[in-house]
Amino acid sequence: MDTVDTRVPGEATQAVTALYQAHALGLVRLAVILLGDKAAAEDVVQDAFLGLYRRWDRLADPSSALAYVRSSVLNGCRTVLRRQSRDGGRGGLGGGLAAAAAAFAGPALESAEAHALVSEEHREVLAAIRRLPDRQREALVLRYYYDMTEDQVAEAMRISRGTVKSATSRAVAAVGRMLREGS
Amino acid sequence: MNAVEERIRAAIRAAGDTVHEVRPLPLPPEPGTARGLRSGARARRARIWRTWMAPVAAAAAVLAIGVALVIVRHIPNGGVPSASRSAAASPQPTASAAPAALPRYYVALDDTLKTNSPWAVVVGDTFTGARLATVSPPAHGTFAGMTGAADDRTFVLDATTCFASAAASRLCPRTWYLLRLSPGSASPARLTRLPIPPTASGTQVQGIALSPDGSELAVALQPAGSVPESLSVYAVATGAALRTWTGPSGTIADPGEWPRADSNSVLFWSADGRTLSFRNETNVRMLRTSGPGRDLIADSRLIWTYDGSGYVHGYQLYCNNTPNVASDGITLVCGASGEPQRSVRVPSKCSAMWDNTMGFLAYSTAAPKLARPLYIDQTTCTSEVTAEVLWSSPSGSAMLVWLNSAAESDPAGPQTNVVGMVEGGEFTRIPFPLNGGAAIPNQVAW
Repeated sequence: MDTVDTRVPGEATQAVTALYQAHALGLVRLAVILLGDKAAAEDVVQDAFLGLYRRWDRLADPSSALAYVRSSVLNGCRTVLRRQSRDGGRGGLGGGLAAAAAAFAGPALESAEAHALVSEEHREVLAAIRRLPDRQREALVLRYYYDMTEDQVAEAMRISRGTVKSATSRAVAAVGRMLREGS
Repeated sequence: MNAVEERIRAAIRAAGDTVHEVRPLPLPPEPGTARGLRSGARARRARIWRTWMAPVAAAAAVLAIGVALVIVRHIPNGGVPSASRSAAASPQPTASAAPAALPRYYVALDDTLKTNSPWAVVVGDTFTGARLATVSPPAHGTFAGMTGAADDRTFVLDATTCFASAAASRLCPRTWYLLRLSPGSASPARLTRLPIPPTASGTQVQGIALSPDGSELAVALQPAGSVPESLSVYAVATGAALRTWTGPSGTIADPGEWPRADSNSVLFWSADGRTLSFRNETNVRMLRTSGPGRDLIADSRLIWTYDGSGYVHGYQLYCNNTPNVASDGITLVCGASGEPQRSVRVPSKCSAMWDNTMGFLAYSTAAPKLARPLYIDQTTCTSEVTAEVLWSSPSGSAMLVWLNSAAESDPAGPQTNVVGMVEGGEFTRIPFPLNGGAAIPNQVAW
């Protein structure tokens, strides 16, 4: 008898499925903002949940699962951006603002409808955000998309509140500077 | 929220709102076979073991305080001059075993996990962890900040009567106190009120720094409303304001939200007291204290910006934590975190997702580029990390630092949270009381 096939789904399946249903959409949105690419964003989020599933019995505190997944999504986005930059694709980090904006406007948003929802001005801002260092970009998105407090951002990114504050304010200043220079 | 922030919020929400659904999650069969069940049993045993071992581990930690400074990592850094290992090699740390370059005594806020009651300060021994004295706050008040002179015996503390909430306390008046240490004497710590004028209600203390000789106190203030912020230098003995410069709001970094601890990491004196540096979120500037003018911007010079990153051992590191200007006035040291350099393949035991590193870098303010790495941890395998300089020697070659990170092996588990010294490319943990894991910067002064 195949014990795998006949086994009643256990704790990990139920818990991870419930967590996915509750939070996957928000996390994919987060990853889309960071990556500008829905397919890549979904891959990152699914990888994060699969990682959680594999590690479930090693998780000391199941209530920290969402924090784990969110950290994994942030790390996964960083990896994708590094790979894109290394492969010369998308041009967001290494190129100028116009190139990055063009990259964001290309395969980033999957449909004409989605493309229409993001105006030229928004794309320019998003491109500037993607040129920020990892920490600044992530702090900015968590703060202004999720409306997280500095405490919550600090917990999600596992950095201090002071670092969140400085990273966010530096990011805002840098985006403002890039927008001025690009205009 | 300013116009740029409004644009950022609108843009990221527009991008997020383009996603309306996600594909299902294809989970593989759950490991329920004999192998999987063994794995679960092993995990449960591990949890039981952890529970049983917790008091043992705590006891071991206490013992460790009395044993020695323990080298937890040694990452050789090319070009970093070798330094004395006497502290690490000694099985029984004593004053004589302590590195001469490091200050022996510190003053720290006590038990900062208490959020609605007054804070005392403790006087501690850097190398043994011994508590030499506890100094109670003034009546009906709490200590709110501290800064030390170079002699390791003279500190200025500020106190406030507000401690209902962190937000409220930041805007409450501060009164000033001198704390003198006499270790080994009948009264090892003596507190006296200083004649420096109290701050006005509604004014936020942006930063404090005692001059190396202990004779002058620099205080940066941001009054309420659209009023320029100021940087004043007071004579500690008389309370007289010797100099004041003003500048637009934001010239000096906001202290952030470290609970009720006024920042002692935004103003930096040179050893001779002739220059005073200050930082904000994007740059560091230096004033000549005897120079003409009263304008924080016009009468200072830019000595460093956050823009640059450095490449060390195949990692691109960003100096993204609090920079400290060493008292030589030339060296700037900072905590850094980074990721693998894109063009270099670095052997790493970390999976790509967690291949981050942290460390400390030194820059020269004379030529704002990376001068040398002071310590790089390539084996961290962390999620985000925080590396902060708490104290630096005059040349930046020795530092007391705080490291905080989460490990790949258990990213949702407890964070690594240690204080130690960095010297000669090594990090050596010191037995500093961590107040249950509370944030350290600004809550301690050496």
